[in-house]
Amino acid sequence: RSARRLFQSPRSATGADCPAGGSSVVSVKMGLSSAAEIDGAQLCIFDLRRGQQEGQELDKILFFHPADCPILLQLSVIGLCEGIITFTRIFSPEDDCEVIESDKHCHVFYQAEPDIWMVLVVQKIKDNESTLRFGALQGILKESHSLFAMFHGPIRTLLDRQPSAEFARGHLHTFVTDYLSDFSVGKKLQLPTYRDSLTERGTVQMLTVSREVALEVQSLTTVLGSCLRNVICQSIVLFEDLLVSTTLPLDDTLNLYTYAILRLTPSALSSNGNSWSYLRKGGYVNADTTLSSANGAAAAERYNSRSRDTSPGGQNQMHHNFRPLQREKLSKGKDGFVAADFATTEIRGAVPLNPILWFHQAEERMYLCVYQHKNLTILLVIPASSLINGEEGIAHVKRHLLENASQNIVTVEQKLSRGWGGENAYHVGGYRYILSDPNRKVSRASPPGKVITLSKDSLLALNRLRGEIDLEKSRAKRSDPTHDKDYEVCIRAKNNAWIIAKISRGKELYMAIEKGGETLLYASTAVEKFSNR
Amino acid sequence: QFSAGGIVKLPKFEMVMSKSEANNKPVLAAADVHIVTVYGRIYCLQLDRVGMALNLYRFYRDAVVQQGTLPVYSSRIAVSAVDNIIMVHQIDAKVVILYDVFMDSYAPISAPLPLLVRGLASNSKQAAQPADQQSSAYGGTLYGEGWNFLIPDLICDAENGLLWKLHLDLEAIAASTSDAPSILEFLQRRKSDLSMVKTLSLAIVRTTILERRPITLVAKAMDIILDSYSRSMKTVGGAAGVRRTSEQNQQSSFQPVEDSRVVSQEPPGTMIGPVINTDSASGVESRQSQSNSGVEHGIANLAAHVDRSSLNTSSDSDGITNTSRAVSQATSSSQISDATGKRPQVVGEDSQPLASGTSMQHGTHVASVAISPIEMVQSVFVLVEDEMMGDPAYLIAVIMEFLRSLSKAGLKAPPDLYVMMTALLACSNRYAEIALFVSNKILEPSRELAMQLIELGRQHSLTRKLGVDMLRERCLHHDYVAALLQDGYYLEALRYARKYKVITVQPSLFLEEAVAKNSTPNLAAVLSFFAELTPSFKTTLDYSRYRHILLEMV
Repeated sequence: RSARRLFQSPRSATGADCPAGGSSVVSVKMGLSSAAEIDGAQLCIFDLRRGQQEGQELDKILFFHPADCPILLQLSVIGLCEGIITFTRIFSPEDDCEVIESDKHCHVFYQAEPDIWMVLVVQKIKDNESTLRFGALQGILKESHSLFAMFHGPIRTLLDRQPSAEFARGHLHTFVTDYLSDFSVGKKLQLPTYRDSLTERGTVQMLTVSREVALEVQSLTTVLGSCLRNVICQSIVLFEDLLVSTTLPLDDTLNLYTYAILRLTPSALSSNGNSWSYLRKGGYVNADTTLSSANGAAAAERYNSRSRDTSPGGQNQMHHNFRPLQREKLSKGKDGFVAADFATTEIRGAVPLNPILWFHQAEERMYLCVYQHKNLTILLVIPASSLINGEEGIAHVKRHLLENASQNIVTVEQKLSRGWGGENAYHVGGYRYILSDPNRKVSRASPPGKVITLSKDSLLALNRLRGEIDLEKSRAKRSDPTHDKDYEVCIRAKNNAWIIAKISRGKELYMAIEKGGETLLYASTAVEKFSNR
Repeated sequence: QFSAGGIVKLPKFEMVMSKSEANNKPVLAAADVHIVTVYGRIYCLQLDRVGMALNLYRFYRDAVVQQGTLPVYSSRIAVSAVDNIIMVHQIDAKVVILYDVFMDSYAPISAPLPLLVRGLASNSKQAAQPADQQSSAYGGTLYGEGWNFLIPDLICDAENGLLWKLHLDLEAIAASTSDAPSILEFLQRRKSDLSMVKTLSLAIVRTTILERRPITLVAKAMDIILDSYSRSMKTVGGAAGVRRTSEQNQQSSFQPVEDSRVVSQEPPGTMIGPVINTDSASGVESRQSQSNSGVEHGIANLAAHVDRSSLNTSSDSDGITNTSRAVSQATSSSQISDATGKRPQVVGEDSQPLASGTSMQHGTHVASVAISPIEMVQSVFVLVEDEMMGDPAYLIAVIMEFLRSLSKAGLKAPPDLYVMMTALLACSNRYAEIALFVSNKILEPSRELAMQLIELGRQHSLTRKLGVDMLRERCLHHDYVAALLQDGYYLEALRYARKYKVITVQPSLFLEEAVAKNSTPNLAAVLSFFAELTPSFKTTLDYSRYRHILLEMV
């Protein structure tokens, strides 16, 4: 049996450990017959404050995937989850229940907002218990929720505004379904497994640039920031799929970055379908301005839901037609803009950034304007309050951007491309690694093309090691939240590869070295080398 | 014919002259040709009366090339050169248009400016009676009939028997345009009145910032200043110090002379300026200095003096101040005769092309015009910081542009600037950007910056971590260990101290932490660690004290 199970069992056996430390993992031996009937994964979102009376349980459910799942089954899954949540709260009022592992299923919990839970149920295939890492699965829940909140605001706010929850359900349905479409293979969801153990969801990958280029980029962001005369616009600059600069706080940056990687960067756009690439060619043809080579990005329509309570007319518009994650929509909706202005590329939508993170004001609507020049993607965030007449104001900002920033954009793009080492720029020969800083939400990893070359054994071992470290970390955090603990673990996997985890001053490094002949000393020297980065 | 006359002492240019002649129309009169030397280059300006334009030719060693055309607004013009500025006097309009042709730009530096007669202050001060009368009488006759424009920057007033010298009133010129970058460019190329140039330049940068002009404009201004600084660093090398002293010497030596001589100063006004430095390389100048050296010496002295006086009064003038000065009559007459005698042919009526050269100031001061990054920080950023607190974002952007200019010029910024920038970022709550800038080295690591980050870390613990990490990267072992201890990482600190042999941190600090954590084994371990590390530790007071504590804990 796995190591996880080993050190879990004494806890669940006594049950006494829970009140002290709070239980993050509860081992449940009982059969979950209801869930067992379903193939593949399920994802549900429910609100514990709703449907308190018997017979109204259905009201709890805000979202369920797959949607065609029988209602009874949905209810039984949610009933089980609610039961577990309530049960564990007795022992651990502070910390949420995070995962249930049963023989055939793994339930991953995430309390997205107070009393709003997201649960992912993953079926275990035989002998694969160590292929899943619950931290990685929870990452999916977190990511989808924060993206949702970025576009639609917190679920709770939606529910408070409209107790019938019609809009909340509608939005969740389209949004999360669109989000999950990235994972679906055929009808099933292909969730991250051990093969993804050298990736970290919820982190930003940075492009390392020289000081000179960085200053150049800053000068660009200054110009971008002054697109509105009186208010400073925030901006994020990406090159390829890597972040170059940002003026936003960490979490907002992360959300926008994630969105950009999913849908906006050139590589994401190119997978958006044929109509898209056709239009992009059109942009190149119209080559009489400096910006002619700009690729168009898609446009989404305006989103008005936040103004619902002030302007009743907004209600209709917000209904179901704002789908920032829908690929086809992105390319199609752009048509209009591109026809009007081939050179520019933008998306418009009011983006209410996560209010908790958005420090200016609890609920500030922001317009997102996306501009792309070759491999450079610029996300400009414009406070909606500063644009009195939305559409016109945006058009003005766009014009301003083209007039003033285009020179800088071209320069920056050239400099970045010159310094760009290509896809494998951050490959370090001999190592497969991921280095992440959860505090700053930054990570850097071996390029995926290189990670594939690792053998299954190494990846499995790595995955398990990461699971262990995750547990260890959360335990340490509970005992002393302010104090970072340092760890270093070296494991020799079945195939003689060295699997190493090192946490030092909050930075985490996981790596695999497939050089069976080498000694532990060699491995730890290699780690030393990395820790200096 | 013309060429033969003009180039008596410039055989090299004879050919050249004739060529330019060939380009000209047959109606060309000698009076329509002016020769000036600026930046060590010789230009010939030829007035096209029909086209109302002034054609500008540059003489090269073996060719004459037309460089551009300057507009003319008067049927009579005169040309002077002061401090490498070409002044075209539009005599009918009684104004002067200034051109700085250094970068081959032929746009005027500013709008046409009037001449101002200066010297009242000096008059009263000097108590020169005859001059007083003359000056008051003189007022209305600027550009009078009797004016002969001489050599580079002199005007001989035949009617009144006075000799005027042209000066540039930089302050007034600077005040007359709002185009900060170009005026800075202009100022940075001036070789006269260095401290003035510097103060003015700094003031201009300050105002641009305080007025929140567009960042691009400020950036351009910074580029210019730093460019000129890095250029001067290259050419001057380490000689700056020497130069400065020589300058001082000059000034002090002037003083007595002026006092005695300025007596007859008058407030006449022609333009601008102080003496020109020219490169000795050109034949023209050397000739010049030979021929006129005596005279010029005197003039230079006077010029320096007037300058000063003109500054005092310049605030009430709206345009340019022209300080010219009549040298005492004796001198002036001798000068005139000297000059006229020398080249009667060329002189024509009003214009006298001459290259200027004052050998005495040769090559000095290049360094001191330039403003170093440290000076920028001290006299611009530090001064504006308080006033800009309401809008830190703008100041941050300005500093960012400054850093960019610095790196373009290959210069280093003083750590103070980074500290200031970090503080500004922090007070606008932009901690994420601090992290970004530290990680991409826009904020260059230094001990000062690390300490600032740690200080700011009180509000934002991640920032503190950045600072602590910076200490480690800079190998500031003592500070790093101290910072770790402050955070309560006493075991890590101990490990680090052992690895890098940090013995400067008090053992009691470690022990205190261990006691605070109430961990008996750790306290014991720390105690024995120090006992082994430093043999003398067992004899110290700390040892016995913490041993006692340990025993009590057990």
